[in-house]
This record gives sequence, C-alpha cells and structure tokens, in this order.
Amino acid sequence: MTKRFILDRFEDGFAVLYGGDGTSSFTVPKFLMPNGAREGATIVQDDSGAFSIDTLDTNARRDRIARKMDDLFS
Amino acid sequence: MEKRGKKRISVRIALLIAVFVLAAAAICVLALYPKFFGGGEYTVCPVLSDDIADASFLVHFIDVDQGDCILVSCDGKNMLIDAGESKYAGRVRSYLKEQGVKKIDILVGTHPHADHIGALANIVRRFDIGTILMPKISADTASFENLIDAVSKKGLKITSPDKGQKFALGSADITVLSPSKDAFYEENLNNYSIVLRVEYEEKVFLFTGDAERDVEYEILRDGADIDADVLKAGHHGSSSSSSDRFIKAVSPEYAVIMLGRDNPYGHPHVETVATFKKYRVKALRTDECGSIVFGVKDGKIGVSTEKGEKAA
Repeated sequence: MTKRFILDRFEDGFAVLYGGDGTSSFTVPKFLMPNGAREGATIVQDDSGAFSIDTLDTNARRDRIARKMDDLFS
Repeated sequence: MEKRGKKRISVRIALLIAVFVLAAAAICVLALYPKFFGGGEYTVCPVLSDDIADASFLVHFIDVDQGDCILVSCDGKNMLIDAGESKYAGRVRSYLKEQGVKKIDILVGTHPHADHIGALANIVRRFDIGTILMPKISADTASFENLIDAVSKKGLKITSPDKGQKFALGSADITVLSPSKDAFYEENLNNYSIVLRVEYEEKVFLFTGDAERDVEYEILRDGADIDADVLKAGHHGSSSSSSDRFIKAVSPEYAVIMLGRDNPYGHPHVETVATFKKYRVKALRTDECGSIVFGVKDGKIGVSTEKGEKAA
C-alpha cells in the first residue's frame, strides 16, 4: 500500500515529512527525496519504500492556498 | 618483624590502588558529566532565582519538544509566539489555561514550518485572538492550510509586519527587526522568520524564530539596537544561526535553546554551544530544563525552570 506525506521542510540534511492529518511526522535523510522535491510537495512512498512526487496534488494544494491567502493578509 | 613489614607494604599498595581507582572514577565522572561541576558546555537548570511569580512581565519558553512556543505576558496582555507541532496543541492549551490566558492579544507565527505553526490552527479555534502577525509567505503544506482556514473561519485577518514597525504589549515595547515586507529569501522559509525585540523596564528579550546567519548579518547591517539580556537562540541551536558576530553584538546573559531530546538533527550543534561558551552566555535548553520562565521585576531578571530541582 502506498503512503502519502507532505514534505514540510528540510532540516540540516534531513527531510521532515508529515502524514495527511499533520500530527504524525517522520524524518528521512534528504538524499532519499526524489529530484525536484521541494518543501510543500506531496510525497508518495510505494511498497518498495521508494519516494516519488505527486505533482498534481502538489500543484492543486499550492493553487488552493494561493487563492485562500489573497484577501487574508494585509 | 618481617611479617609486620610485609603487612605494612601490602596496606600501602592497597591504599595506592584505592587512590588510583578513586582518581580514575573522578576523571570518568568529570568527563561524562561536566554539568555537575559547572564545566563543559552545560549550565545547570536554575530553580527559582528570584520571586518572579508576581512579576508583571513574564516570558515562558514552553517545552514543546523539537519546536518553538513562547508566551510573553505583560500587564495582563498576552503574546504567543509559535505553538510547536500540532500534536502539542493540548499541552500548549493547558499551559495557557494554567496561566489564566483567555485572550491572546498578539499571535505570532514566525514562519510557516510545522514545528512552529503546527498547533496554531487549534489555538486560533480555541482562544480569543487579537492581532495575528505572520510573514506574507506561503507554505504549500497541510499545517499552513489548516492555520489560514482557522483564521479565515473566525473572520480574522493576518498582518505581515514590516521591519522597524512597533507594537505595544501592555507597557512592553515590541520592535520588528526582520523581515522587511518586500524581503526575498528564495525558498528558505527560515529566513522569513519574524524577529522581535521586546523591551520592558530596560530589560531586552530577542526572539529570532529560525532566522539564519544571513538575516543575523542583515540585522547587524541595519544597525538596530540588539544588545539583549535574553536571546531565544535561532533555529533550535543549529549552526545555521547564532553566528559569532551576532552573538557578540547581542551579548546576552542567557540564551534559550528550544529543542527535543535526541533530535535527529544534532541540535544544538557544537559550533553554537562553543559560541555561547566563548561569550560566556548561560545557555538553557528546554530538552534539559523543560519549560523555562523569565520574569522582570523592579528592573531585575529572575529565571525559573520546570526541571530545576531535579537537575542539580
């Protein structure tokens, strides 16, 4: 079964991933992240343990957040 | 006679061995636990050093493991800077309730990483909130989205402060040292951290979020007054922050490092600890001391730590 995470941040050589509910997190060495993985990306881990980026989900969340931020900040 | 002489020699040998063993044990203890002897890089967690319970200005560095959460209260007004990861929301709420906090007059999300803003959505939902300060930078994460949803649902707005802007918390003065509204630090969200100088009765506290050395140098170039009594060490004691020049200029009496025990990042880094030692800064760590509280009363600073009594 594949698992999905959000890459919250890079921290001193590690990638910090959070589960969908934002409460559970785990830390993996940065080099295990796929090329082009940026903070805020949706990361999928397949059965073999390998990580990949879900670009569609990443972009959808980015656009949604950008819209929500529009009239929230002054 | 000969027998007695032999006995004396064996007693002497036994004494020599005992002295040797004791010396070796003492060396081991000194090497392993320098904090017991005031040496090494440790500062023993202080127990209540002054009566700060009735101080009208208090700063609580609330232990949320590997994350930041700071409550500043002055004359009945409260400012909360970050709240740690979302799993610590309950702990933060309990702490705030114990302190009698009903309204958070100023809520600061220093920068949108989950170890700082994770629990803020929950806090926004559960407390009366005044002004919300956050840098205008988005993070495409669930924790950030949860927070802006909670703010939006309450009909609140977020103010992104500008360098030099001032706020009041009761009779304490707050100055924004970073970032400027048009700051651009590429993808390094740490550097967007809201850095605050808070002054009360001529005592100064500096809160730096996760701002790294580039921002520290920028603040130095700005020529801002950063001489402080207490510094929240940037970025959990990582060597990315607490640069030599910055610590020399701030020259605090105390630095508070907010971090979790056995964190995978090696915080606090040896370079940071060495810099504090070089400038004779008393470094207090939340992983060792638990929550750390400073109070200012009659122009004096008192400090108390949750685990103070146990650490001696």
